[in-house]
Amino acid sequence: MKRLEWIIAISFVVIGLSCLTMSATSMMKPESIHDYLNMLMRICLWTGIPVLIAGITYLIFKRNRGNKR
Amino acid sequence: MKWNRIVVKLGGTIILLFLVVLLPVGFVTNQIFSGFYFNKVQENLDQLSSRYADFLASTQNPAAVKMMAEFSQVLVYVVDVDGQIIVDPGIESLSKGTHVPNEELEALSKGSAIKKEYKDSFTGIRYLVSGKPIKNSNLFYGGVYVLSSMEGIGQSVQKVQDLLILSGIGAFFIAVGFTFVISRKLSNPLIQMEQATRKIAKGDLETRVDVVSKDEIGSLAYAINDLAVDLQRYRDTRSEFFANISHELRTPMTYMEGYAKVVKEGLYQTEEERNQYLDIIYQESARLTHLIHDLFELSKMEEGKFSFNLEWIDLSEVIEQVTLKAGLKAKEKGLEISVDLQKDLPMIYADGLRMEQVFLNLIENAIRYSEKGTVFVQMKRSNSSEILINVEDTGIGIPQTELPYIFDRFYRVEKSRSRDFGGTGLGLAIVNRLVELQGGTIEVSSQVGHGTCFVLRFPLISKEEP
Repeated sequence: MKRLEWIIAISFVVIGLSCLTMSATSMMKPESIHDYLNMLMRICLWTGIPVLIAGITYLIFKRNRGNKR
Repeated sequence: MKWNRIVVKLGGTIILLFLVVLLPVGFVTNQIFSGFYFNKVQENLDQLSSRYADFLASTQNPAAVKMMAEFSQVLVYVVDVDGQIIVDPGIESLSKGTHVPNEELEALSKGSAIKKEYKDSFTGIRYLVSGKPIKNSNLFYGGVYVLSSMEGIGQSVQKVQDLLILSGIGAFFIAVGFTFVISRKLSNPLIQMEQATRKIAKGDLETRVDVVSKDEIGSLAYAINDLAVDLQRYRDTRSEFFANISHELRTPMTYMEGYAKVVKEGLYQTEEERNQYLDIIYQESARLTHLIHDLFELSKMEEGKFSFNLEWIDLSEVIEQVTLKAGLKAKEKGLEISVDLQKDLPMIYADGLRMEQVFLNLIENAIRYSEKGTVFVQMKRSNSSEILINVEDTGIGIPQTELPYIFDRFYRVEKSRSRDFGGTGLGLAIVNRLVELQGGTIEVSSQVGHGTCFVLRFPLISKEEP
């Protein structure tokens, strides 16, 4: 992938995360940027869960295959 | 931008799947929330109307209710036993003195609660209404209604809907970002392979694909690389084959042309000399026929069009016949053929004539390249599953560097002296193919000046197997 393509992909993800953060914080009436960042971190954590599960599954498969050999 | 691309199709499909999940989930979430909110409001209204009804039943003081409602900013109206509004909520269509419908009054008198939506005919504003009867010791005094503007409820729901849509858009953007990366990563190897195969098809056979995974895509990349290697080898051997064949055909033709011209123009001194020239022409034409025959056989074998007449044969008989045939040639050169055949060996499943061809080729080669000594043929059982045959000579031998190539077509160890020894340069190539096609293997070992040994192995199979 070219650098421009990476920038486009990352921009989409950042915009998406911002939309989610705004959506999640607006009802709570955030008093400072700290609340906003805190919510952003929590959303990132939720986004990272599938990636984490996929990574662990991949490692388990790789390890099992290694043991079979 | 070209739309008919794998990355677009893959990415589009993933996004479509995402939307297929996101949109119904969004709709259901909205329905759950709206339903929950309406129910909560309705419950609140019911509780409030019950409290007011209980209060009025015990105090009979509608003015106090009006005051409490105004204080709490709640819309309330109270009807008397005739269904006439005695405390109004400040809505024009529900002013003091107007009557509620008879059915409602009847329901209230029976102790039933009223739940309805009411639309103000003047302003068009819709209200959610909860009405309760005012009863004390089974005496009916009227009813009390509490209202809540649907507009307010709608505004709250609308705000949540907007936030749900915003979060949906956010999720969509994240999906687009990840899908873009995933579809590029998944389709890149396919695109690379497509480009590589196009290059290979155009003749750039040096092209190779990077193998990055061990799945089906990796296997496909391996297959493309193997195909390129095979094609390259095929192209190289084909050019080499044409170069060799033209050389091999040109040499006897030149001999024949030259000597025929000498005979035709009478450029000879004696009759004996003429006969010698005619003899050369005859030998070269025979050699040419032999070469064409060998080439035909080899090409049939390589194309897979060669048919074998497979049957149970006794290899000892085949070898004895071959040594008998080659015996004369060996005797002419002063060589001895020594045969050592283990007795009671099982028969093997092969083509007898082709086996004869294999051993005749090997033994004639041994005789051709030996000036003195013995050609030794030994057959024995090497283990329970195979028969081993050694064809060994005491000839000039083959250098170690040449050994890997001796089964190649037209390969000759001593190019300069090859014609002195005769042969077409195809004999060992044919032997190799015949042995392989009949399930055997052939190996060679040699020492320059001491001799060469060919080791053939054929599998022993039970008579039920073939």
